[in-house]
Amino acid sequence: MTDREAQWRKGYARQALSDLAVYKLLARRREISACHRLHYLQMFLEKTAKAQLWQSEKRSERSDKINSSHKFIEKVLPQVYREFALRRKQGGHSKSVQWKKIKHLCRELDLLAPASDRGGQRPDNCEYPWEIQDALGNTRVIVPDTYPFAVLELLARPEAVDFLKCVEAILPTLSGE
Amino acid sequence: MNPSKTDSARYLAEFHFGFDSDITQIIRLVAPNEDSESEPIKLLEINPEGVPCGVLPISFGAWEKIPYPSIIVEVTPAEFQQIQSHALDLPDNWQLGDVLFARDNVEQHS
Repeated sequence: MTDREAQWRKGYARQALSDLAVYKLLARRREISACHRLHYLQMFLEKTAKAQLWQSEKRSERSDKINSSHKFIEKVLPQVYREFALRRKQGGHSKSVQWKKIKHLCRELDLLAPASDRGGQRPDNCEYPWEIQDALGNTRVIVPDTYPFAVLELLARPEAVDFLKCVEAILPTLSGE
Repeated sequence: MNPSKTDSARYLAEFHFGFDSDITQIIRLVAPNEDSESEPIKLLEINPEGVPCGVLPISFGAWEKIPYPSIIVEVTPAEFQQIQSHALDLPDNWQLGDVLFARDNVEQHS
């Protein structure tokens, strides 16, 4: 790994740790709108995924676009979780079912970023208002501050808790601490 | 005594194949210097439910059970076809190697 690659890996990992700290702070302050802690959660996970990608010693054309691209949470972090399961000798059907749920969770977390709206099909995001139109053509602007994000229910499940612990556990290594 | 790289690759692929029922094939990727101990085990995993992102190698370090670093490249079936037709390049002159695992109804690469 070149020094430049190591610097990017550490940089993303250290910023991910900072985002994680804010997420945990906001998670304890339930009077603050959920959109803010979801925003920091999405940022923490995306930066962790990018740090993991910068760790790869074998680059590809796609790897070179890490910094400017999004949607890496679903692509990268379930594989990190799978590696953890392998090392903890946790295979079997129940773990496979859990992993599918985690992939679904990661897909939803990727969609929290405004840039990941699936071609307009999923405008809901944790940062900016968006517009919806009903069957009669009436439009309404939705605000993240009061939007009931379905992903919150997914995050309360045991597999999500385990997944976040797993992702947090790799950060010290990635950050070079 | 450490397991061979081939045995380790198979062990890793077997775990992945059993863990994710969406994976249709796992193919070994081989580099020109594949015999080198420091060259990672590389697995190409074809997954219709995968995120289409092109070739994106994800690395993991060696550990007790698999004493070689490993790299996983997950692609969709369409991306795999692009790799086979060289419309999508693999890095570092990697070539498609043996099919380690495949679901019964999947046409394997030749």
